[in-house]
Formats: sequence, structure tokens, C-alpha cells
Amino acid sequence: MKRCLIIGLMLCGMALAQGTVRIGWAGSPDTLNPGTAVLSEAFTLFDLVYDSLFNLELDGSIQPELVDTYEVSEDGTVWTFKLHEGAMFHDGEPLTAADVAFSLDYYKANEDFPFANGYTSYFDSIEAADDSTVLVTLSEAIPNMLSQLLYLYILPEHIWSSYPAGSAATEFENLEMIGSGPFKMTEYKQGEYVRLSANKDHYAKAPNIDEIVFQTFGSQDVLVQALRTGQVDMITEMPNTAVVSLRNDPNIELVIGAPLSPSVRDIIFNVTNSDTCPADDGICSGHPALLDLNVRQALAHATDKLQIIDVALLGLGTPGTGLIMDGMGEWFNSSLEDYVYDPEAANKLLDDAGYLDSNGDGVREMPDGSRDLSFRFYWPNDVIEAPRVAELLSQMWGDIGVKLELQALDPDALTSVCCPSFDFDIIMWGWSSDPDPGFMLSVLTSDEIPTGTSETGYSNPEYDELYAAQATELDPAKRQEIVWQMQAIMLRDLPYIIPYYQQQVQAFRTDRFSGWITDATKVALEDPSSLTQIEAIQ
Amino acid sequence: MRDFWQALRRNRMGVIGLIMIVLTLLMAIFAPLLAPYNPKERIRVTLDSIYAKPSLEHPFGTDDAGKDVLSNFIYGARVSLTVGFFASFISVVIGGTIGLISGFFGGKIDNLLMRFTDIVLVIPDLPLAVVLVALTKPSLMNIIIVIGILGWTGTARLVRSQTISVKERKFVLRAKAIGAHPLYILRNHIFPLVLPLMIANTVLVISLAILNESALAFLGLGDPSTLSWGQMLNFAFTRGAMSSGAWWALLAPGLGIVWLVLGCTLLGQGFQQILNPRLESHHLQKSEMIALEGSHVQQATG
Repeated sequence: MKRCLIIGLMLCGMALAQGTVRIGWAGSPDTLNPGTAVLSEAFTLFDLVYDSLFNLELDGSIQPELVDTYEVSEDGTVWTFKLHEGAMFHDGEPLTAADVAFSLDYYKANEDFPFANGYTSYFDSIEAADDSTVLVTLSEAIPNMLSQLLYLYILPEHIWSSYPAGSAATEFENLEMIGSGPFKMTEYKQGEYVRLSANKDHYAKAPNIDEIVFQTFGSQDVLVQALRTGQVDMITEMPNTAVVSLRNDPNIELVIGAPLSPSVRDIIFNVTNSDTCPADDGICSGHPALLDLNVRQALAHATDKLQIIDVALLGLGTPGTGLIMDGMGEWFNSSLEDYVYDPEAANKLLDDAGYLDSNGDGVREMPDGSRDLSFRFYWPNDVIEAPRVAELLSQMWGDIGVKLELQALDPDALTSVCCPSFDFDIIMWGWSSDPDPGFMLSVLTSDEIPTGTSETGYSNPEYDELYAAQATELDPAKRQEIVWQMQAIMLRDLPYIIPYYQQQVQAFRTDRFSGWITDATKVALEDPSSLTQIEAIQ
Repeated sequence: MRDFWQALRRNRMGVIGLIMIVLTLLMAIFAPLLAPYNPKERIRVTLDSIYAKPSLEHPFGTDDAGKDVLSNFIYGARVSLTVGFFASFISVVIGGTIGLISGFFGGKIDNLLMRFTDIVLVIPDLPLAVVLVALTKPSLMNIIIVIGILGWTGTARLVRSQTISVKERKFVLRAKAIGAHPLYILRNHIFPLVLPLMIANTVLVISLAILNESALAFLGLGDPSTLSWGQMLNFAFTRGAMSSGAWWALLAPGLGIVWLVLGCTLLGQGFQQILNPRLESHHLQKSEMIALEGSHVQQATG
């Protein structure tokens, strides 16, 4: 027995090469195809394996990546990008302007790509002027051109041209994952691990380490154990409840701060009515009381956001007002006044609007007495703090005579009741966003109701007009004004209650690698900036 | 009935089980008096107040939301007991009815009902309960119903065999001979003789129901606003009790479940031993006896 143990330790020590950094996460990429991927784990890999024209830095700014210099025409419609020299794909082929033009065209041509296609919606034509110059002509000048290019990863034309369009493009698994980024794909076992090796020939940021292994663990709690026992060197996520115990571990350092992709937890009200219900897929079974602004306002007044942040997040979050997160800098409307927590005001609103508890069972009824104010309340079962939030909300809203029927659902089941079928009363879910407010603002537009992006069915022509205006407003100050105005409308009309914007909590071992970036505005230890910089401790 | 209690008093395990259940019942009933804190009370929570070690202030420590585990534990007994009693009541009513009808009428009815019972019996309880609870709303009521309608098969078989043996007794045959209505015989002659067995079985089914409720809540299918022991385990498990070393948050509800299930099992077995004294001696002992006293073979097996 003892001998086995010793041999085991030796093997373990040998397998643990000096330059291999092991990262633990509780998820796994859904696919390696940058066009069809949805999960953030996939995008973490893309950032490491591919280059794009521009990159989102940890200070929140957008900086050129493959682009050396760029200029834009007077009217803002023609963008000329000069590429860096020396960029090579992992298979030895040079990365040229032709590859860039091919990639952008490719994303534009494939309408089934959920995110990438949306980023190209204003692209009119893309051409390679010479080996290192790309011209992008827009149909209309837009204010957020650079942020559109962040997640349009540059693909090698000599590989992807064999999968031109349609199902060939969406079903391509891309297991080889040939890119030009600082790391190369070496091994991929779906749901188990991903092994990347350093691309020491990278033109700009060759990594110091040799290899990264992303290992998938069953739960966030197990991740914490793995970090503590030294099975992994860094974890990208962890329960807030483990902060205390990890804080006291001398070999572990915690990083807490704003996430690189700002994230929001939202309480979604189904406000579809007979006019807005999608004709094809709509079931629209929402509770009629939720169509009444008085009810939604009463619920907002009955929500103690600070208490929720205390209990569910242990204080590691900030109360929210709208879908635009406080991590979006100047786009976040900091002047808004949220509904104060005031159960009496909430009760009065409901009393005045005629929602009374006439049968004395503690639950109010509709003014015509037809139905209780009893709402179905769903949340995805992969959000670990959600049951605690649901528990608190059912107490807080119970105080004003509103009953919740709580149920956790599998994310797929939640999607099918959510949108565009609108077969729910209230859902608690969330978003992560890129740094531009465009997408988050689009979620509430009428055009998105049939597509499934709109979760509330909210429709307001005034909001739609403002959305169209901000999309092409080139003056940042004016655009900011419109974006702020839209947030004010969101808060006034309350299609959502936003309980909080949460902070990112990550941790790493201090005894294996040094150089993790911990002092930036945003926290993302899995970002290429950290992973190309860290060095093994001798 | 008096004989029954006297027999129970002589059955030490049964008495221990009864005491365990009664203690838990008292704890649940007097929860507001016993619990040092109100679990529904809203408290300010900080990183340092969660998973606090057991202390004088919090004898069982605090949980992931900074709440007193002892108070949660005391109140949690209410849900476990409620689910246990009501679900097993549903089970025994369904199982008892099917068993009585099946055993008494025999023939095609018996065949049909028993095959149906077999079908339900081979479906694994928990996965089906998970599916049913996921399809309905996870309210306490639904959980009770789901557990109730899945747990009756054992009772049905037990009651059927007892009914078959009772219905061949002389007084039943006599009642039949003088033309009593079958329902009358069932109600007045057979049911009273099957009832003690059903009661004994109920106690055993309670422990199954409690385990099932805890399992469902632990798997995240419970209603998080209902404080049960399974829910406590779920919160502790999903919200990092293990990585925080907070064994108390898992131990208290875990031991509570074991305690109550053990109590029900002991009492249920005590009941069965009294009602069916043949269980008291082991069947292997009996076969030794049979081997020694060859002349009794026929009687012993017949």
C-alpha cells in the first residue's frame, strides 16, 4: 500500500511539467466553431487560439490586435485596416488580408451564426486591397465599429473555404482549431479537458509558459477543493461562500472585481399582450396582472436588493437599475433613482389599483376577483445563488400579498418556456455583454420579440426609435444621452427588475506561477493578457 | 388493542423507535418555543457571518446565508414529518384498497391489479419522482402526492396476501354462506383483521417518504422557500459548505434524517414482529429445528 502511494506521487510529479498551467472550470465549451458557439468557455478558448482585429483589454479599452494602423473615411463608412507583419497560422501558413476579408465575409454570409452575424449587420463590402490591407465599407456610419470586431476571430481561408455556408458551416466541428493566436490546440475531450500548447512564434505576445490544460469539474465546490489541494493552479469561477475559507489559505490569492464581460441578473416579467404575442411560436400565458405597471412597481418597491446581495452574493455585487451594467463605464446611467424598498408603498399601490385580498387567504386577487396574484417563478438550475434569491423574493413579495410558485428549470427547458413562446409569468435569468451597449439595448426592442432575444415581450415605439437612433449616432456624447434616456424608460416601465450586477470571483495558487494580472480594472485571469505573461516559479 | 400495547412495551426496539418519533414530533410541534432564532427572519449577512463554527450563540453553527443551523433544523423537522405522514397515508390508502380488492375478489381482478402493481414496482421510484415533480410545480403538496402515489406497491402486496389468508377463515366462509354482501364481509370481517398490518406498514412507508422528500429537495427539486432537511442539505451542498469545511451544515440535517428514518423503521419492525410472531425467530433457526425434528416438517412448511 505504502509503495503504491510513493509510486503514485512520483508519477504525479513527473506528469506535472514545469511550464504547464492547469486551469479548473465548472463548464466546458459547447463547440469549437467560432460561428456557432454560445458559451463563454468557448470564447475563452477562441481568445487564446485566434487573433481578431481588435482586442478588449483588462482596463476596458479596445486596442488593435492584428491591426497595426487604421483610418476611417470622412463620412465614417470606409475603414482601412493595415495588418501587423509576421502573423502566422499554427499550420505555418501566413495570415494575410485575404484571410481577414474571407473571415468577415464568412460571418456576414452565415445568418445562422447567433452572435457573429449580428456584428456584421452594417458591413456592406469587405475587400483585401493588398496582402496587408483590408477595406471594410459600411452601409451606414456606426459609432461602435471597433467593438463589432472584437469577437470576429480571423479564420484561415485555406481551411474554412471548404465549409462555405449553410449546414456545412454550422456543423463544422473545427477540432483542429487552426488559428494564429498565442496558443495552439493540441487535445480536446468534450466535457473533460482542453489542452493548449504555447505558440512561441507568435508575432506579438509569445507566452512564457509551455502549456495550458483546462479541466472541467462537476461543480464549483469541487473546483475550490481542487485549487486547495494543488490539483489546479487557477480557477475561473467559485462560489462566493468559499471566499472566507480561501482567503485564509497562505498559498492562494483571491481576485475579486468587475468581470471583463459585465454581467447582470434580471427578473423578467412576461408582458406580452394579444398585440405583441409572436404569431408563430407564441403561447403567451403570462399572468394578466403583470401587464399592469402598478403591479410591477409594487413588486419593485417590495424588493430589498441590498438584502438579496447580502445573502445571495455575500455583498459581492451592486444593486441594478437596468440591463446596461455598471461595468459599461459611461454607458451606464448613474443618474437614475431606483425604486426604494418600501413595502408600505407597495401595499398602497396594490390597494389603490384594486388588488385586494378579499377572501383573507393572505394572497391578493385581481380587481375582478378572477385570479390570485400568484405567479410562476422560474430560474435556471445552473445558477448557484438563484435558489436563495428565489427564497428571499418569495418572502419579500409574500409580505405584500403576492405568492410565488417557485421552480428551478434546466436551461434548455427554460429556453423553451421563455422565448419566443412566452409561456411563463416571471423568470430570473441573466446576461453577459460585450462593452458596447448596442446588444443589451436591442433586447427590449419590438423587433426582437419573434426572434427569441426579447424575453419580456415589451414593445414601445418610443424605445424602438431611440434604439435605431443610437445605433447610428456618431457623436459619443449624443449617443450617451440617448442610451441614458433608454435606461430611464426601462426603469420607468419595468419590464425587468434588476436585482444586481455581480462581481467576478477568481482564485489562483501563488506557489506555482507568478505574474497573474490582479490589479487591472477588470478581472479575467483566463484572458490571454495573464496567460501570456505568467511564468513558472522555479 | 390492549394486548397490542403490552406486546409493544415488551419489544424494546419498537419502544425505542416510538420514543425517537415522539421526540421528533414534539420538537416539530414546539419549534417556535425551542428554536433560538426564527429562520424566516431577515438578517444582514457578511462574508464573516456565514458558515460560523458552532458556538454558544449558534450551537450548530450557521449556514450559507448566516442563519442558525439549529433553528433551521428544528423547523425543518416539520416538513419532513408532514411529508412523511401525509405521503404514507396516501400510499397506504391506495395500496390498502388495491390489496383488499385484489385479495378478496381474486381471479381476473386480482391478476389485473397485481400486474399493474408489478409495473409500478419495477419503475425506479426516485427517477420517476424527479420527472413527475419537474413536470408539476414543486410545491409541498405536489411532492407529497408524487411520493404518495409511488410508494404504495409494497403495501398492496402485503395487504393482498393477508386478505387471502383471512378470507379462507371459517367465520368469513360462514358469513358468505348466510348470504352477506361481499362489501359487508370486506368491511366488517376482513378489514379489521388487515388494519393492524396496514398501520405497521404505514410506519415503514413513512421512512421511505421522508427519504424520498430529502432526496428530491437535495437534488434541487424542492421549493426553496420550504425549509426541510433535504433543502438544508441542498443549500449546504450547492453553496460551498464542503469547501468551507462547514461540516455542521451537512451533519445536522443528515443526522436528522437518519434519526427519523431509524425511528420509523424500528417502530415499524416492532409492529410487524408483534403482529407476525413468526418473524421473531430467524428462518435458518427454523430449518435447523426442522432438520432435527423431521416429523414436524410437514407442519412447519405447510
